[in-house]
Amino acid sequence: MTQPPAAGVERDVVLLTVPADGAYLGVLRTAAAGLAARLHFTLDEIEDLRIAVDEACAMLIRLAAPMATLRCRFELTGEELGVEVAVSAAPEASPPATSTFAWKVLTALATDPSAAFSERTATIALTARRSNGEPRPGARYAMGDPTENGG
Amino acid sequence: MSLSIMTTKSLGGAVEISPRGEIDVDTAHEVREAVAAVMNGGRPAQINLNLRGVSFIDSVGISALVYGFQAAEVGGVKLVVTEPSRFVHRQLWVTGLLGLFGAPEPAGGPEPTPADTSRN
Repeated sequence: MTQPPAAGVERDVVLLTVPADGAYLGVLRTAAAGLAARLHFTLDEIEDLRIAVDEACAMLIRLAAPMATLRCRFELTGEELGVEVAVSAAPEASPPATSTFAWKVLTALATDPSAAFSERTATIALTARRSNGEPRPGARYAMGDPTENGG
Repeated sequence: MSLSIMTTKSLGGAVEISPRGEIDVDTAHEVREAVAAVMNGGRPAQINLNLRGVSFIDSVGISALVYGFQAAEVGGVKLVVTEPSRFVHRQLWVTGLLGLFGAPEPAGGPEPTPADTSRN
């Protein structure tokens, strides 16, 4: 969950609900990119957010009950964009797995992603921050230094 | 939001697979199938996966690339990525897989679509 904004900071909330189907991932990526652009994120930060939102939504789609919808909440607060995605899970679904490759990518690209599972609703929340030119500690190397793998 | 894939043979016996569009959970299977089709059609000297026209790829898409690499390797064929777009190059770098795919240099690549960079 995103923290309440400091006094005097504008806050906008955007809600977007789409069928829990991979065909709609592009819509969510584009929406996230547009909102990040409103906050004047850099191109790299927008790309990171597009991937993070895609990974979070793709993880939840795999858990979704038939005919379920994916509920996305974007909260724009000053220099931050909070994203919370939720879906009604299928009866046999397990909580979102945080040991997967997708989660590793998510943690490499977003700040403090978290997954929750209660009353058959699976939720993933993450925050993207505008860096203002400062490097984001840990964000790039959460998966190890790729250059050590011959990259 | 869709993906189109073109497969061409070169005189040297290599095959080039050129996807164009976005590779995600909805389209990654098309990349796997394209590599499988090339392998089923005979053993090329090499498979060049030209990703110049790919504007987005996520972890499912990267998994498809790795699948393609492994499927080719099992058949004794080397699969390399050529001309990755800036986006793809960055994703392969982040995931530490640039070396696996032949350490390609980024191409000029597709510019972000207006929807990605629009402000207001």
